[in-house]
Amino acid sequence: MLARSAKVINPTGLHARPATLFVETARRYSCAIRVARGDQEVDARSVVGLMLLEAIRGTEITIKAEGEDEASAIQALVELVESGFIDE
Amino acid sequence: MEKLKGIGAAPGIAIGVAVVRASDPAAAIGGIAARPQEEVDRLAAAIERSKEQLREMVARVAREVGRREAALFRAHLALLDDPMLIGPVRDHILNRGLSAEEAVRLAFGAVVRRFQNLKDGYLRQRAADLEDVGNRLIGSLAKAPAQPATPSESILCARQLTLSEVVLIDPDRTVGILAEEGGRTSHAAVLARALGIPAVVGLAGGLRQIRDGDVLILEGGTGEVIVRPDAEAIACWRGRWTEHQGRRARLTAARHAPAVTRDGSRLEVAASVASLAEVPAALAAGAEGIGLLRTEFLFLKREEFPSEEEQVAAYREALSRMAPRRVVIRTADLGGDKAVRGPDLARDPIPTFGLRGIRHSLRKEERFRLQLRALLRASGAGNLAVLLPMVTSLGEVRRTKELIADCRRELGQTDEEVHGVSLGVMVETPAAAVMAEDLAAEVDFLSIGTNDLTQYVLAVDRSDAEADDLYQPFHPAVLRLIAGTVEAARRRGRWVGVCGEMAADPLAVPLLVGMGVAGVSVALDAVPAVKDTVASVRKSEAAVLVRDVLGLPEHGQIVQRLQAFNDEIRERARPVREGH
Repeated sequence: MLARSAKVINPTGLHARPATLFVETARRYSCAIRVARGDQEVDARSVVGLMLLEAIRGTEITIKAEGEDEASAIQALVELVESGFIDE
Repeated sequence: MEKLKGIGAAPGIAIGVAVVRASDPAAAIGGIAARPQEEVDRLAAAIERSKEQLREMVARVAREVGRREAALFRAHLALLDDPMLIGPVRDHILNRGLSAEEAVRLAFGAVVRRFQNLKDGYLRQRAADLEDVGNRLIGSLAKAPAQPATPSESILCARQLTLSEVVLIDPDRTVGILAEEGGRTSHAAVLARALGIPAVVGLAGGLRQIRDGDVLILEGGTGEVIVRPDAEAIACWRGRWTEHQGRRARLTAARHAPAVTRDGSRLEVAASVASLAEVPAALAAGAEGIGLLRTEFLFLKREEFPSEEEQVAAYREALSRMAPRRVVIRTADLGGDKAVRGPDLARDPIPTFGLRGIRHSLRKEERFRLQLRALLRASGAGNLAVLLPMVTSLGEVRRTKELIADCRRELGQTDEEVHGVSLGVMVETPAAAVMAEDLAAEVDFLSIGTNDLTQYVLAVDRSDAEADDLYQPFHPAVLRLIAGTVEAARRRGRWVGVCGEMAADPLAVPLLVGMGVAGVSVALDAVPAVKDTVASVRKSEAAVLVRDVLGLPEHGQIVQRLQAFNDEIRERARPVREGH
C-alpha cells in the first residue's frame, strides 16, 4: 500500500468538476484507491464521496492506493491535485 | 405439492405464480430469484441509456459551446457510476425487494439530503445535480421494455401487506394476494375485497415454503393455499375457477336492477367507500347510493389539516357524482393525540377504546365545525346524509345538532336549503345498541356498524390475527343486539341500515331482510352478490329464519341453521336458472 498527501490549491476546492476529474483519472487504474481527510475516508471513484469531504482550498488530503499499479496511480492523482486540477 | 391453510380474506379462486415481496432481508434470502435480478438488469440497462444520452450531450455542448460547459455533463456521467449512489440502489433492489424506480428515489434521496446539510453553499447546490441525474435515470427506466418475466398472472406474497402496497396492485397482472400476517378485517384485506382480488392472510410461517416462481392456488373463501400443485389439482381447480367466473359474470350482468325479494320486498343496496376514487366504481357496480363514505382519507397522509374549501370540493364531488342517489358521509373517525395522522394507518391505528369518533370530534370542536360547515356548504350538490361515528350518548347527538344549527346561522343558510340534509348515528357500540330507541328519536336514521359492534360486544380486537376465530359476527349476542336495534328504529319510524362486513355475507343477508332492515352498505365487489341473494329469498321465510335464529343460544347452531337455509335457497334457485 502507498499513501501520499496532497494539498488542494485550486480556489473552489474539491468541487464537482475537480472531483469528476479525480474520479476519471482514478478509473484508469486497477488498484484500490481511497482518499482521506482527517478521519473521513472515501472511495476515490465516488464523486459524491469526494465532494462530501468538503476539501476546500488549503486542505490536505491523503491518497492511498493498494494494488499492482499503485505507484503510477498515486503519482497521477497527486499531480492532478497539486496542479490545481488543470483540465487536459 | 403442499397444502397450507390461512384465513380467507377475500373470496375467489386464484391460480398463478408466486411473486414474493421481500419485506425484510431474512425473507429475501429465499426470494433472490428471478425478479430482483431482473430489476437490477433493468437498472443496468437504464444506466447505459442515460450514459449514452449524457455522452451525446457532452460531445455536442463541447462542440457548440465550450469544454467548461460540457464538464457539467461529465460530472453527471461520473455520478452514474458512483458506488455511493448505485451501490445503495442495487442494495435496495436485491435486499428490500424494491422496484428500480423506488430504489433510485430512496438512494438518491438520502444522498441529496446529506448534500443539503453541508456547510458549503456551492456544494449544497450540487444536490440539484444529484436530483437531475436521479430523474434522468428514472426517466430511462420508464423506457425500459416491459419486464418479460413479470408473470401476467401473479400472486403477490408478503409477510405483511400495507394498505399502500395493496393500492398499487395492478388487477390485470395480480390475480391473488397472500400474506403471513393480518386478519380478515385488516385494511389490506378489506381493500382486496373491494378490488375483487382473492386474498388469504394469516398464513403463519407459511411463506417459508413458497419460493418466488412457484405455482400457487388460493381459495380466498376458505383460506386454502396449494403450493406447487400437481396436474390433477390444477385441472380440478381450473374447473372450479371457470364455474366461479361464470357466476360472477351473471351477477355482474344483473347488477343494476334493484334488489327485490321474491315476495316484493325491497332492500336498498349501497356501497361503502373510503375515498373519492371509489365513487364512480360504486355506480358501475350497481350501487343504489353510497351507504358509507368514510372521510378519514381527507385527514390521513397530510402535513396540515385540510381546509374548509378542500373539504367542500371533496364532498361536492361525491354528492354530484351520485345525485340524486343518497350519499351518507360519516364525520371523521379519528383519535389519538395527533391532529392529523401519519402516512401508515396500519402502524398508527386509531385507538380501539376511548377518544375517537364523535367524542374526539367534540373535543376538537373547531375542526369538527369546519367539517360540518363544509358538509353544509356542499349539501346543495346532491342528496346528503351526515352520519356520526362511535356514538354512545344522547348528549353527543344534541351537541352536534347545536353545532350544525350554529354553522347554518353562520353560513346564512335558510331552512329550505338545508332541509334535505338528514342526520344519522352509527350504532356500533353496545351503548348505542341498548339506547337505540332513544337515539332514533333524536335523529333521522340509524346505521348499524357491525364490524365495531361485534368487536366491542365480544371483547375481541379486530386486528388481532390470533384471536380471529373469536370474532363472530353471528354470535347470538351480536345478532340479538342488531335485531333489537332494528326493532327500535322501526318503532320510531326511522330508516335503519346495516354497514359492515356482515352485510355482504350471503348467510347474513336473509337475516337482515327478515329483520326488516331498509338497506345495507357493502364493499363494491359485493353489491351484485347481495342483490342476487335478496332476489332468491322471500321475506316471509326470512322472517321465520330470524325468529328461529334469535332463539338459538349457540354460535355453532346459528351458523348451521343459516348454512342450511342458504343451501336450500341455492338449490331452489338452480333449476330456475338452468331453464333460461
